[in-house]
Amino acid sequence: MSERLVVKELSKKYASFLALAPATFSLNSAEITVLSGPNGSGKTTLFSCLSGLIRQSGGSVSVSGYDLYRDEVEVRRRMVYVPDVPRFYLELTAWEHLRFIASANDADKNFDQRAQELLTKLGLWEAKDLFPHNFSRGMRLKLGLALALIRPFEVLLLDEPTSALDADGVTLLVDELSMLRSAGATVLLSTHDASLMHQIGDRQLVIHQGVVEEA
Amino acid sequence: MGAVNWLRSRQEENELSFWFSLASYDKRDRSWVNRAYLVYLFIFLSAWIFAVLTLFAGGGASLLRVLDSAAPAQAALLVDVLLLGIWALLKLWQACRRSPVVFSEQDAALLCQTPVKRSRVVLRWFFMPWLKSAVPFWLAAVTLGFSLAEISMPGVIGISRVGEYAGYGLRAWAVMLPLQLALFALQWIIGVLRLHKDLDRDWIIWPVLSAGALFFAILLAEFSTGSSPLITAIRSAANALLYPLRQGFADSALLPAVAIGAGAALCGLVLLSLVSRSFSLNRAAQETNESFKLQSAMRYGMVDYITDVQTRNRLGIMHAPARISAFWEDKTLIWKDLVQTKRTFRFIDAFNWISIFSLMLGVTLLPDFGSRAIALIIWVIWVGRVSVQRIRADLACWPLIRQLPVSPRRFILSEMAASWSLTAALSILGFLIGALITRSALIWFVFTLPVLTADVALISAFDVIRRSKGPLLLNGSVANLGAVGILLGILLAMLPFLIFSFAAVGVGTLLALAASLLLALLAFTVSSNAYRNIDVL
Repeated sequence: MSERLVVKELSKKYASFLALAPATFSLNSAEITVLSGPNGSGKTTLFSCLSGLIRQSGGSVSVSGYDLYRDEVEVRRRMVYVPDVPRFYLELTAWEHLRFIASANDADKNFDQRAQELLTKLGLWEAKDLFPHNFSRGMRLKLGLALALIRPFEVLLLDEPTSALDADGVTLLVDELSMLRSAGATVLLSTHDASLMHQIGDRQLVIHQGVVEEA
Repeated sequence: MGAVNWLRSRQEENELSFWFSLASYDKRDRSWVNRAYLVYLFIFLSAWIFAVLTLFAGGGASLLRVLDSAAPAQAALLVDVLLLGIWALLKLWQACRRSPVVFSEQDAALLCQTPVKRSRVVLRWFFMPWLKSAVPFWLAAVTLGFSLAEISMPGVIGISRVGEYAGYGLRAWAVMLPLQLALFALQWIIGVLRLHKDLDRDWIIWPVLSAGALFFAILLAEFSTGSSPLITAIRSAANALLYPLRQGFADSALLPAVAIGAGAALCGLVLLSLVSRSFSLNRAAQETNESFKLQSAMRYGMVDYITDVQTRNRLGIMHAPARISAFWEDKTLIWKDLVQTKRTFRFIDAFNWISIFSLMLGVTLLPDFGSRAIALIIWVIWVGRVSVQRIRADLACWPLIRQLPVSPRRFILSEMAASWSLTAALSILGFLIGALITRSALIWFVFTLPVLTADVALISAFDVIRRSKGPLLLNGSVANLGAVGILLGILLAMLPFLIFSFAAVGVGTLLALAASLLLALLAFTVSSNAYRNIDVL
């Protein structure tokens, strides 16, 4: 196992409010790390900073040796983040979203077959030509997962992926994450589900009032 | 019922507070200064409205003379009838399709689930929408009355004659008030009747269509020169029907007309109260939930939200997949933009493109530098607004767009490519046509135009990115093109234009082109850097 995601003194401040205290940790390849913490503790802020969706106030993030901002394109090729409430284009169908993301990530090879397998597995095949704004929250989350899984990556960040999934969906997610771990991927996911933590977590991080600690 | 009354009063207070806030009056402030400000506001607005209406009355008088110089009162009546009739028919038609009683999401969840008396709710919900619909008609009636005064009272109207002048307006208003109220009540009766318990009363459309047919028959009979028994009968019926309105513009007794109008309004309200006993609040809430949200969004200027809802409704549920050919594989962002643009295109959007073309045509056709500069400034604003549409839509999907393995430079180029091609092509076309018509030396500026368009597009994109912040983007909230962006765009467009206008043609062309290229490079660099450091700036 090697260090994939290295976080050094990462912090985020909104005016004088410290949303994320300086955090240092690293995540290894072929490892699933579970992040837990109460509501409002800073989980989504941590994910947003790790994925570069919001700019950190201090510290650095690197993926496989590439800095999140200096080598942005390389990091984007290696890391993917699925937010708890994914957003989609109004004008593109579920299938077209997959096509767009795959193509933008140079993952066009065998696209039709891979996309069909993925959507079938996630139970979205029948809804492939629907616009995602008609989807339920669970379906939106599944499409967010599909957009992450259609492209290659080394690090996967998942913010509360089970919050809107049904029992079958959670089982599917657990199987998928186990397979990804076997394939060498690094996964960081946040959840309030204690059984999920024990079921798949190799490591556990706890965040409380913006302070990240190893459990 | 007390709770319903209290709830509605709070809603009405909130609505009033919004309108007061537009005039910088804070309803919660109980200080004397604030109360004095309210009195001042009332006096100022009354005087201002009076002045504006008298101004309009000048134009109104001309219109009445054109319509019927021999009998301007008859022309005023015609305008009144047309306004009221067309509005009433449109609203009646709407009432056959959607409940006139509009409930918010909160009303739907709380009020509509309670066993309150339906008729009380309907009557309590009636006042505010009626007031909002009535004000334009009051203003129109007073303006028409003033217009008649302008015709009937020759000479200068001094302070001693203001009362007489105002009387014309008050007469028209006194008649309009109850009649518009009666028609408004009729619309609600139709809407409430349609939503009777769980029944689908599709037949309700027929009385409305009949009313429409009657209205057009009256109009035809009025304009017809024939004297057949049918036409005569319709004219007689119309005369009787329009008696109250006519009295508003006549010199004879007003009281009977007002009494008839008030009677009609009272009957309408009583009938509304009777038919609304079995009104289905739930069905009304289901129908009006979205329109309430849109109305609220409109009031607070949430244009993006309204566009989103309208786009969703237009797109529907599903669509056959758009194919992506090998050509587009390394230009996916542009492919996506084209698919999105194609699916959301409305004919009204063509207005943007026509404006860009016409403004550049204007730059060449206008005679002097000053007017050309004004046309160019308006062109900059238009190009800026059109150019940032796509990038704003993409930034609204921040988690998707930010995670693409695309460098900021490539991202900016891809975002600008489609709109730049079209704006540049239309601008060149407009400019060339104008320059050829006028055989102007300006034609040499055409070489600078594509770069100039890029200057404006890129600096506008810079402004949008500069003003957007990560945490807000995560919620889909994207900044719009601001004043700084527009000013920078004007600066970037005017500089090459000034150089070209005041230097010799050959040198001017080269210098303007060089300046434009430099500015485009600068705009491209700052916009790419702004995107890279989107939360830092």
